[in-house]
Amino acid sequence: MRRLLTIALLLVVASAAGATPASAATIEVTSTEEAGEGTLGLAILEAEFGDTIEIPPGEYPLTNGDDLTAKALTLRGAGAEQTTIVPTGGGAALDDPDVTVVDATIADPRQDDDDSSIETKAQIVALVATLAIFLLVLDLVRRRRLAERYALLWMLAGVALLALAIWTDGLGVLADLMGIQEPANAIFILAFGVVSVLLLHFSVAITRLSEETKILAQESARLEHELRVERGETPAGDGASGPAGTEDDQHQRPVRPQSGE
Amino acid sequence: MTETGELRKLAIVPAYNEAGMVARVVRDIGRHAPEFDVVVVDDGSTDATAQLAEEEGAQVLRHPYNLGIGGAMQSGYKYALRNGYDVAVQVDGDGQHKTEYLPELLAALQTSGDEGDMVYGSRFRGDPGYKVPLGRRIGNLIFSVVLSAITRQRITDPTSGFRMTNRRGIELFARDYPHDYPEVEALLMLHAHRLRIHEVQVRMNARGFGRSSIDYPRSAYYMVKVLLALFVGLFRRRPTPIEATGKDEHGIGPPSVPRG
Repeated sequence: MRRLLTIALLLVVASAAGATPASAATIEVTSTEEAGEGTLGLAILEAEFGDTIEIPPGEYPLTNGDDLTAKALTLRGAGAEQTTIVPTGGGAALDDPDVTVVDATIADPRQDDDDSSIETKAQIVALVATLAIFLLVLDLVRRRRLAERYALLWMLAGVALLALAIWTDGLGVLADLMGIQEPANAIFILAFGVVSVLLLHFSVAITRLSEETKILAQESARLEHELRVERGETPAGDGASGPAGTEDDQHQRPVRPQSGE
Repeated sequence: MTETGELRKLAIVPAYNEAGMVARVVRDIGRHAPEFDVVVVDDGSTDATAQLAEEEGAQVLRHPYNLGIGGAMQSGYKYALRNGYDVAVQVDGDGQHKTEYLPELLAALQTSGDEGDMVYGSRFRGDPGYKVPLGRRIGNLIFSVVLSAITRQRITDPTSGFRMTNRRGIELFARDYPHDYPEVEALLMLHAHRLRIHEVQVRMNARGFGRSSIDYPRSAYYMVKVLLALFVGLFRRRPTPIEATGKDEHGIGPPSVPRG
């Protein structure tokens, strides 16, 4: 947006001056910042085709590489020892045959912030971690410590993360769809979502398990009581109409299966 | 509920480490309401609760571990259902409930007929009989307002566990009973199943030995949990009254366990 505004402003200024530079002009850089007034990036934006940009001694971050190549600009430093240009977008623009760099040193490209790919190192880490989890899950299944259906759940989650770790373009597309600038954040959010759903699933499973164990405990108490009555270890209830003594009368209801239905 | 003389009655006494009180509670039931059989649900006690109760002539269900008051009560209701009881009353094993009110509750249950499927003793219709801590009073008031609004009847003591119910209530609670702090939710269940609730003024003892099921740090959880249960309960589909088969349209029952 700011870029568009700047261009629009430049167009207005240019037309107001009524000056279409016939020959290449020279623009001077005054700021070593990455963005703002007098920076190299702004100079590149403001430059016309074939212009030369003068860069005083110091370290200057290079932005707007696309403009640099498109306008076939010349970057002139104050000497290779004194002016250093630090590319921020991978530095490919400086290798373009249309671009001329004189009297300046080109530093190693700075860490890329805008590129939509995870670093290869991180990819490898993701790969190794996912594979490790995969093997762990398989081993747990092999030793019957993990039920297959949960194993499948984990493996599915693992495969999804693995796919995204490798297929970084897909991650970029996904990030775009989710409206997230940083693809790495997209994968974090996705992973977090998957883990949350898994945890919720386990809460549900635990609830079911505690319900089941409650029924078992109640049944165990009942059976224990009936066994004691049967063995005569406890009197069968109070007086003649004792509960255990009436098991067979007409009040007796069919005992429904108490577990699993 | 026509031949009142033939009714089989059961007192369910949930007890968790109540060795100091349980024998007295069982004796008191025998003294004030001898027609009631007594089943003590020993909810995983580590003391002599079960043994002492048995010595007093009560039937004892021993849980292998502590299930909580909800699980204990449900065990008692299952016992009542299985053994064909027509009336079941909950009497806390800690001696809080005065057994001399049992005949009064029973009379209310029988005479109220269509009025009440469940009759409970309310502390707050009159003098509670002991000094109820302020926090509990406030909590009780909140539940009371909410439940009275839901059920459209005055419910002054929704946390009272001194409850007597008929066959329909026994069937309902044997199949489904709330887990922890169940009293308020149980009232909502009764209402949702169109069982009528009737209250009788009683006095209670301050708790005897044993721990109160609600101590101070837990009361916040208690409030939130019960209010959530009430809120969620409102959105459950209204079941029709239970059929004599002991099955409602949900098939709600102890085995309501989804298959994975």
